[in-house]
Amino acid sequence: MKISNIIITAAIGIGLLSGAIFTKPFGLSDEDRACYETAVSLQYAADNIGFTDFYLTDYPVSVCDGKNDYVLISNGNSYDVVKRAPVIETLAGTIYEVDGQYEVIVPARSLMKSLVGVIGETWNENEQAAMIWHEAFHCWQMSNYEDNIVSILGENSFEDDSFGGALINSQYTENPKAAELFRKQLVLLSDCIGEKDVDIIKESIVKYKKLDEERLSLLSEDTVCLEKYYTRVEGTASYVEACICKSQDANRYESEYQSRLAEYSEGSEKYYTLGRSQCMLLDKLDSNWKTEYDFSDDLIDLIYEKLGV
Amino acid sequence: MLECKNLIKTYKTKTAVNDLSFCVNEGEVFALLGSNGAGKTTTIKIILGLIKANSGTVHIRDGVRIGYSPDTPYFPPFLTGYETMEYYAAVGKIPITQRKSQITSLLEIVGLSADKIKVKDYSKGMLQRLAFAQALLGNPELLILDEPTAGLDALGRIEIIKLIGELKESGKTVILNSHILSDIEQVCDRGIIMNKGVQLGIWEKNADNAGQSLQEHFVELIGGADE
Amino acid sequence: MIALIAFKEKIRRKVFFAVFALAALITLIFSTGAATVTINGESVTDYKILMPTMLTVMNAASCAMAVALSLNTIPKEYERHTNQLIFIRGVSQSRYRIQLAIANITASLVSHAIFFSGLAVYIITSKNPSELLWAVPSYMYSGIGIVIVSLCTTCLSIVFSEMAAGVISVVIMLIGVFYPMIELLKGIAGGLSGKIFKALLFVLPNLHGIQSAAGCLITEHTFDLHIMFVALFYVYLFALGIILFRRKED
Repeated sequence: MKISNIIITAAIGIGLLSGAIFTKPFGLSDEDRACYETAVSLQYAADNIGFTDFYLTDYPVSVCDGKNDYVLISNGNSYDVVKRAPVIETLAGTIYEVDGQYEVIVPARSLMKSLVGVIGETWNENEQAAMIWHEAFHCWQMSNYEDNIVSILGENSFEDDSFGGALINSQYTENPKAAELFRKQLVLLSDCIGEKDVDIIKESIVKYKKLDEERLSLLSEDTVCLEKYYTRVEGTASYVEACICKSQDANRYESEYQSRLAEYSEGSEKYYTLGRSQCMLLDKLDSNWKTEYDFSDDLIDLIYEKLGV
Repeated sequence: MLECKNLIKTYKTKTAVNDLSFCVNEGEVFALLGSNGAGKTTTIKIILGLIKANSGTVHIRDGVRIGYSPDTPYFPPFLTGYETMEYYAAVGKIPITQRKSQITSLLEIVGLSADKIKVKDYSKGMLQRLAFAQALLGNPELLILDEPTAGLDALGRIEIIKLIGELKESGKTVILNSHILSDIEQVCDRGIIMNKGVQLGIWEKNADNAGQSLQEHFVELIGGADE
Repeated sequence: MIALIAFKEKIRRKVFFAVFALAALITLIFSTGAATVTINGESVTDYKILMPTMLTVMNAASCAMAVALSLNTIPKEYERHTNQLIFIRGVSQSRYRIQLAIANITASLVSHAIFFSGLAVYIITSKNPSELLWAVPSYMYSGIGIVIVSLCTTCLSIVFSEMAAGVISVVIMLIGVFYPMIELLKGIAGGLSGKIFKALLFVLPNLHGIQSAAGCLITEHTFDLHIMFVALFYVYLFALGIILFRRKED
């Protein structure tokens, strides 16, 4: 091979490699910044929900791209970005206590797109922003009501989510009657949310209560414990997420949340739906319920109380 | 024109060519004689540079153009004979202005017409002629022909042998690989006899071969080697 | 000339009928609304969701065709000894192989164009003709991925037997097309498995990323320069491999 050809070949290779290196996005990507800014701009929607002193900007939001965490910390009208090594490995949104403060931890939007892309779905900016709000609500819960939330589980220790999901699945597999009752309960709640007549709602909730008592008797104490935890903690966060989504995209709200109120899911996801439905029903019965709610009671107990059941 | 010295070529456990040495003079028709598996085709491939010998040298005079006709020619089946010749003329960088006349005359020489018959419809004999024709493209000084009469009928063989003779008279040097002794005896000047990669002996047309015909000489050498 | 003849030989093969048939079938399925994507149990027929899905399907089919079209070109040439009449005419081995690779790439891109025209038909039948203009640069962008698959297969066919090259090419193609899934597995798996996945992701081309970027050209009108440079670098590396790899002597 001629020297000139070798030089040209090498030059092409170096040029392409340099191009790849210099165009590689460094630091926090623009799209993740945009997602955070979109989330922050939805504070008005969170204010309309009604949970007291619930502000996204109170909590650092850490965006993890698999190699680094980029922590976005609000400072008035703007925010700072601090790069650090990842504190935990996660493929989904979560929260983590860092230096005594709860932080929102979310995968970078590019990572989420890849992850959901595996099952042929898309992941847009609004979905990323809604996920940030969901986790921010958990930060708010733990920052203000940690003792009440921890006490839900009692002496049981269910640190591992996957263990909880497995336990719930096995319980409902062993007791198909429980799954059937759960479905009926979801339908009743969904009907109540759409119902205007309070008397009809009360009638439905009386039926609901009977079904609930029968269903809980079929489940183990641990499962009941987990159910209370998920419904209160995740159900309310799912409700917040749905409210944020409603303010962004009415069509997506309808398809992802509103139309799926009666949908039964495996694992702990059914409690997200249950809790969300209970929150929506509470909104009909008493719009100020959120100002006093401290996670010490089940949401359904509040409904029973409001209806005198 | 060409000199091979101490060529050795081994494939894993088999020695295809074992210490082969010969030279080919300009203007002669030189034969590589031997039965199947003697190492003739391997020797040709070493000369052409298609494979590398494990040791030994091949020296060809500078500037010599080489034409090669393989024993089992394959040409793109969707091309006609003319198009095939055009293809190899382009690959061999023959000037465009010379291509048409060369191709037409070469096809005529080997007895193929420049019509629209595609190569896939060619008989074995026609393929062999086409192989011969493409070997002559570019007017090479040295021609290497590997079993050029294989698959040809009696008339075809006669024509090809006659053509080789004409090429010799025109000053071309030919290395002919064949196992048909009568063809060799007719057209070749000299040759080497090989068996299992080893050079058993030399044969010269005009030399005193102790009254033996080529066939007798060949059988004697091969039979002795087998023993 | 070598590339032209090799390309002409390829397009006469029956596999191109399969390309036409498959492209027509996929187009028919998506354009007539018979294709639906199910998300969370609900059927979705929205163009913005189906178009990327169709692009994924077309791209995967194109990649598979690129492997099929590129796999046996060089082995066949050596098997038939057609290379001998080329080499004796002063054409170097590397130049010959590059010419055959060009034929492979051209055939693969023609096959990709046939599939992509199905996508164009879908864009028109979905009443989004304004996006048709973006289909052209999108085809060129996604074509880089097809070139990578073709070159990779050609490279492997120089060194390995046809079957081994085919298996390895298909594995590399599948890893590239399902790159996000491997990323997910890397995140879940730990220890040696995680390290293996990490190594695979580092070395092998992200065909899914190229296809996604090509899709973004149509849906979001955005151009990802980084992915394009990385893809072109893979093209460069495989082209270099074709020049440098040696085939075992006959």
